Amino acid sequence: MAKRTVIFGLLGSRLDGAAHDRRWDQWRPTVSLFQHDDLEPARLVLLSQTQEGRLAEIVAADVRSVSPNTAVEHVPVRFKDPWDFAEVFRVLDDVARAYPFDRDNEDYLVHITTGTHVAQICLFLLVETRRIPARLVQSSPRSTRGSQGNYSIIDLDLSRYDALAARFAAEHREGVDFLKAGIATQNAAFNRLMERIEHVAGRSTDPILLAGPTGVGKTQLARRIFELKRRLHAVEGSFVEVNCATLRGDHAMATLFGHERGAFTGATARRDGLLRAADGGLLFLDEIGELGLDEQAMLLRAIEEGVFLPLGADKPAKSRFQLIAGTNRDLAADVRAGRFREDLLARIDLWSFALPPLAERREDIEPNVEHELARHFAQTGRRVTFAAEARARFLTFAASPAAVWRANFRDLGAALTRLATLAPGGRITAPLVEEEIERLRAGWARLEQPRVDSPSAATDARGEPLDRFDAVQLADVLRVCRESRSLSEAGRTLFAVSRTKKASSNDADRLRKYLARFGLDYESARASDS
Amino acid sequence: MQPVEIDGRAGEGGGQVLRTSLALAVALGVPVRVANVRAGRPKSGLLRQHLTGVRAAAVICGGDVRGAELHSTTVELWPGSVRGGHYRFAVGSAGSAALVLQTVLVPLLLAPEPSTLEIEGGTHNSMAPTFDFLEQSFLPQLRKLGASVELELRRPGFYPAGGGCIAARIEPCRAPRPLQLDQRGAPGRGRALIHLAHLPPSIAEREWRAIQRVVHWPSDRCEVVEHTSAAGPGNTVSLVLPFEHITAVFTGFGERRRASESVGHTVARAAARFQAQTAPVCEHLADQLLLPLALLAGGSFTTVEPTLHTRTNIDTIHRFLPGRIELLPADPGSAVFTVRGRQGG
Repeated sequence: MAKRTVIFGLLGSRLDGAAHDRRWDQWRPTVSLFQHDDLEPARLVLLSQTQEGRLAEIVAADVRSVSPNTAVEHVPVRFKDPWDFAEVFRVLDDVARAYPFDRDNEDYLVHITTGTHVAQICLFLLVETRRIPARLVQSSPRSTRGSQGNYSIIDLDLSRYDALAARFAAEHREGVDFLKAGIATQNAAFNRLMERIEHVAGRSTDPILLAGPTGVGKTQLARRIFELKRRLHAVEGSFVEVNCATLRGDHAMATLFGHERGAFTGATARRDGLLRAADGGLLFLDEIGELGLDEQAMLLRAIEEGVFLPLGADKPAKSRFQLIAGTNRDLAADVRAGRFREDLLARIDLWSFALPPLAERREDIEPNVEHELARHFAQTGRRVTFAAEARARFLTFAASPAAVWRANFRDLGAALTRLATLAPGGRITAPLVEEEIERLRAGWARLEQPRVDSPSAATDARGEPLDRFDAVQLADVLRVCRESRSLSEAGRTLFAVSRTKKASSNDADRLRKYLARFGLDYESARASDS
Repeated sequence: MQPVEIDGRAGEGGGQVLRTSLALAVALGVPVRVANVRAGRPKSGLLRQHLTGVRAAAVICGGDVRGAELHSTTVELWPGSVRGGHYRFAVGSAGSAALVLQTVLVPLLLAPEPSTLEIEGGTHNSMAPTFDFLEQSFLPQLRKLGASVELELRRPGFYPAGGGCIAARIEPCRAPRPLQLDQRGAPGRGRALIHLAHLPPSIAEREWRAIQRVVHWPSDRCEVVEHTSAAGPGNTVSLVLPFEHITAVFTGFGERRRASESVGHTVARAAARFQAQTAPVCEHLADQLLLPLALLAGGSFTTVEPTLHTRTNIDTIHRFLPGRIELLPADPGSAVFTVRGRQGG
């Protein structure tokens, strides 16, 4: 069952009024709206001023005549001055708030052709802000066919307007392309993410958090968000970036928030600090998790209130900037460990975007390879291309699980820089690609070496420090204990080679004695954490 | 039962196909699906006046409808059995009350109980039968078929204000009789019937003088009815031409910016054309008679050359009752309809 149509409208003291005996010859917006044979309003909510009672009655009777199934509901309104914006808005807003909207069963239209311009603007605002859950309807006279006129329904959800929507969609696409540096990425999740960021970048000045492992392009993205905002006239100041891992101690405070002359030893001159440099612009704090707790507190105040205290200053300084924070750490874990302020995380977590590592975007490797080669050409003026076979080999490897892309785009960029630089005659050949693959593998393998730095293996159960020689051995023994269901099974695993050479062996006993040397038994070994 | 499929684009493709289909479905108790309702029109699909007709058809038989919404282009009606009683329907935007009556009248003749109807809307619309036509021309023929129907103009409704009301009393037609109408019979005294609401009397005088210049009737043949109860202004001119076996009614409509002389002259010319012919049934009456004949006891009548409107009507009836209507050319410019009715005769 279709919803009932309900039309709200102000009685138009001028347009709806007409000499009584000539009124059917004239276009009266409120009455004409009910003469259309393709609208079937169940109810008219007629807002009229008390002194217009007689006109309201005539209009109501004429509406019933042309539309016998339409009920007319009179709602009195009282404007002392119908041109007083604040008063008209308040009165109409009160009507909207008091009205029992039944959106499940009724479809609302607000007729904005009658009333003062002020009233029309107020109705528009009330609809636009959804305080009245309606669409607008606008009517206009038509010279032919008497009093009926035309009408058109305007839905302020602009996405419904094809022409406008196409325009916005094109701008949106341009924005997204821009964020992606023009790279035709294929990864659906990544593309969705860029679309969302494009959306947020155009509208929000709230902090944005970019999370993701090193080398996924957080800094480039932050810079592009800034450029996009500039194109959209959404930002005026400059782009200021700093990696928080490079800020330590007093230096951190002074760098970020500035200092007065003589604030500390060596402070020979006053300095504004990065926050003030970013005033009206965008501040990108990479590795925000590396920031000290004092700096975090000051930063929070700066984000929330736009003020902070430079080192050695008596009066707070002011700066309004949009913050983009980057992190490759799990800030929630840092909050739990007491290393990061919960309130700051809550504030910067409003728009949080996790950038996927390259290994999860393998379909995007090829477009990025093209992009890197184009960039190489732009930087060096030397055009480099892949031989077909070489290209296939490289892409196959790059998309395979063997390519872990530990440092993500940094790895990919480095690989292509090497390939492009070494390419004989600007042609990347198959042997060159094989060589590069080996180099990548080796580099990753070096970083994949088992690392024995776990605290439980660096000291034994009694807290005695261990030689590195013993620590490595013990760590592996403990791991096998944890992975085995019994002491005997662990023993069999640990002594798998030597036991085959013996007529009889008691691997369990051998293991028990080994553990005892470090003050451990099988149960405590199993319970040890890495 | 599979619904009868009707293509709303057939023939002239207006609301008539829909109304005829609904009336037949209700009267015969067979489901109907009308697709492409008003396809290709500027405002396609169901408009308010059509919706009123669809709902009215469903109400009098307790039927189920699908697609009874504005702009819907497919309507299905699964009828129950027709019941008499008191019904009230209202057409918005000054749409025609007569067209709603046309949808429910014949089915209600087949109901076991009598009915009283009140239909609000336009009563004198230019694109539909006027009340005067229904009362003077159509009702007498309907009574010959054995139907007992009374119509009353409670209040006239003109475009654009609407607000008129037609009341009807319909008795079940228990003994339908076939119609034989091949001659007009002896002519009676023609007269003009002018309706005037909220407009100066000079309009009626100018119209009447223009009529007189064509038909040369004496001045006592003009009747002016002034309606103070009408919601808005309006004016129609009907020329009533009574004959022994038939009464023909031709109507002109006063409009803004149209000279009253032109209104009078045009309707008088139409009446004069009819007088110059011999076929008893004008094209408007032929349209109205086909449905009751097909659903009651049938019969035959001689009419002027059938219009596209009439042919569309025949095609629609044949979708429900194949081969019932036969059309034979008669004298030049006229034709004889023979309709095999469902009952008696």
